[in-house]
Amino acid sequence: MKKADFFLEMPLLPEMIPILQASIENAAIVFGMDRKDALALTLSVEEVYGYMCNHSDSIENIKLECKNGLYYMQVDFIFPGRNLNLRAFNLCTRISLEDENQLEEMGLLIAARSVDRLYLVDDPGGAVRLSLYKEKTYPVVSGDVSIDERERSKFALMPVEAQDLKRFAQLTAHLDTSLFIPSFLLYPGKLVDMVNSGEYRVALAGDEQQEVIGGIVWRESSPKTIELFGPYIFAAVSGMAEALIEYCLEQIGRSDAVGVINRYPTPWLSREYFELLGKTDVYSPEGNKREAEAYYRQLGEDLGLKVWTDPDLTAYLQSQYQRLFLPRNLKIVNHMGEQIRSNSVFTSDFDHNRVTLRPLMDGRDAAENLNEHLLLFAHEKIYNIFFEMDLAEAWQSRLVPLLLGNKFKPCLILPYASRGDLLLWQYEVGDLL
Amino acid sequence: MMAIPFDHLVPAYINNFDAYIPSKPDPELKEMYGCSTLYRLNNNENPLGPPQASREILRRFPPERAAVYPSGDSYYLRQKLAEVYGLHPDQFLVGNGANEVISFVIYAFCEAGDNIITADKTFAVYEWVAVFSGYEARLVPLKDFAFDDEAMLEQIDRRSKILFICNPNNPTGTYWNKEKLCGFLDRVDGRQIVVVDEAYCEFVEKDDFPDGIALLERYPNLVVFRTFSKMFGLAGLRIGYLVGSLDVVNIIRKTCVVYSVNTLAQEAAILAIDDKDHIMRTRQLVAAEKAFLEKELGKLGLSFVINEGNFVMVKLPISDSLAYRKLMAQGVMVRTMTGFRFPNYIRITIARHEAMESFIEGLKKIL
Repeated sequence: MKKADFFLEMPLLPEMIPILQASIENAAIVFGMDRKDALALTLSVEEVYGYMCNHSDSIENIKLECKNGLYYMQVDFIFPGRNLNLRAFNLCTRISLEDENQLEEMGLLIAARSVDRLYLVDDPGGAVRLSLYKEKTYPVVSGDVSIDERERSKFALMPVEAQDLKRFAQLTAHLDTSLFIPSFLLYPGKLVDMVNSGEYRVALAGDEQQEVIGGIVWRESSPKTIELFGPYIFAAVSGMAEALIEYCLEQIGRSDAVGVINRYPTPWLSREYFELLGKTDVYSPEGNKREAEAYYRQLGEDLGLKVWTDPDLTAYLQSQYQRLFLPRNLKIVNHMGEQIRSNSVFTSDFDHNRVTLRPLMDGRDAAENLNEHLLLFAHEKIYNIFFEMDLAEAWQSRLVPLLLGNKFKPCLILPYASRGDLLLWQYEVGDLL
Repeated sequence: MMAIPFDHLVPAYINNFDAYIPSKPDPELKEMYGCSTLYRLNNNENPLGPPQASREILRRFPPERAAVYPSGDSYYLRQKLAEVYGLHPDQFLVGNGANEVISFVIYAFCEAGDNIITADKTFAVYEWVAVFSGYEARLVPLKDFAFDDEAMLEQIDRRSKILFICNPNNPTGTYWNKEKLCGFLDRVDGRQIVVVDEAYCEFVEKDDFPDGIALLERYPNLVVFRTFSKMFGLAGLRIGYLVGSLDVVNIIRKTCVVYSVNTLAQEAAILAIDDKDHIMRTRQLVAAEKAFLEKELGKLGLSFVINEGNFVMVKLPISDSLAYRKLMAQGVMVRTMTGFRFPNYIRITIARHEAMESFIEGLKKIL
């Protein structure tokens, strides 16, 4: 399907806001968003733009890239340097009505909360890219769906058609409730759009009557990492799960990706193809805990990496890398009183009752900021709280003592999942329950 | 810093192509994995090294000749090849390894919208060069680990320009016999260029294995690749060649980069090609060590693919990339096969006995 991405380049002037509003709102509608989502995205874009008009004397023009991801729309602001105070992009930021400076940041807070995800990354050439990502709303899977229980002896991989994809999502959503099913599989129409966007791929297995009896999903979660979901099997046929896994590995074997991660393993994930990466605790909304394993495999030979570490983290990293046979050159980061900015920025990524914090910027207020986030999550009764640390970014290791001192424990190393390896920390919720 | 407009500059087929990152040099690998010795069993190199006469040339090479350009078209080597095979010197084009001559052929015959046809699980460079040059690579699944002639023929359309056959196939070692290859060429009937890559042909002793060069007169659309990297142990000098009918090679010559083959490589190759004793000794080593591996892998209960060539594929009950890392820690380097679309397989180069023993010992420890 041909995509309809477009670009805007415009001066940073408040009088341009109606032009921007009209462009984004119309684009969102044309791209298939419902009116409520389109307005939320438009509001978010408008607030960021307005904020920049007021705070960026040095920036004359701004470039916006608008992407139609089929199941989402993304608007990227691209501007030079890091001239803005982005503290309001912290989900927990509370605006003091007494403080006029903070009131000006209200717009950014609205922007952050009006979209599903917000990313801030360095762009090539010294620019900064601020991405606003808004997904479309889809009907959730409904009704009782099952396949007949007759015995099947044969399977074959089948062409991926939209109706079969929806059927696959419906069957997956009705699997054993103890399985951790990623939320997108609860929305059959969304899965179709995800596959059509080219960002997600699915392999389906069918029986003699071409009825879907199994499938597997994968996507590129970072330039070096493929995330795998499944396999999901709806009828027992010998060798089907392995065939789905092998098909997926054959498809990505010559890609740029280094590894495959499965954070939602199913009983049908053949362990022969994967390595146990580690375990996390998963809490139900009621606070019941169970362990979830994460599996991994590399697609080729490991090329080795440099890893930044804090002295308090070194022993853990060494033991994990030794267990996983991953060659890593650990470098201790020394913090020697150098100046850091005043405000930290953490982004929050929600999926069901799970939230993942990612540090965008370090700041002197990092401890306070982290605590405010934790208070907010406690208030919202969110128990699955994670923090992602890119071990290729030396500045992030400054946060190690802070995390260790706030009941976070390192739980998983996801090789090559970010610029370098990604260390996942989990908050020990104890007191929240 | 100036922002380079990559969106505008870079063709989509380059943006979509993923670069191949080769292994690091041995000293780096040893440091990374903490091993003091390293048996390289990943690149199908010849453990006996180059033939004796080639070694002499390397030893005696006068350093001052490094300042002088080589023969731009490997003049004397082509004379030698012509003498050996009874052909005209202009029927040969020499490249910086056989990889380079793959590019020559694809550039010579393909234009936007064209396609090449090969297998899905074979030497990757045919596919890579086509794709990063903007042409479609039609990949036909292997059948019983071998190229599927019928399925390849079915893929041909009016935009198909070249069919690549790796004979024997790397990494499965299967081959088309003379009857099958000729039958295929008859069916193609000169409408496309058929490349037969014979990088490992010198390892094959089977009577029905076809000599592609001997078929050139009968099939003028046939192009044969050979290399000095495998049997002749000159992989580090990078030298390979193609041979075809004069009309076809004259077309390919237009895309041939001259002066890409260095003087040492040309001279070492001239002397290597006559050394029948080297071929015999290598074949004996390969046969003996294949038999050893077959026995030991059988004892371990592993399934394996042993056919022609100086390599063996083994299916493991663990991830091939994990096996790679664990074996590296023991000083044994194998080739992971997921990149060849054989998940959980590793490919092992046949090497001297101590290397094979180390491999088997390593395997026992990790399984």
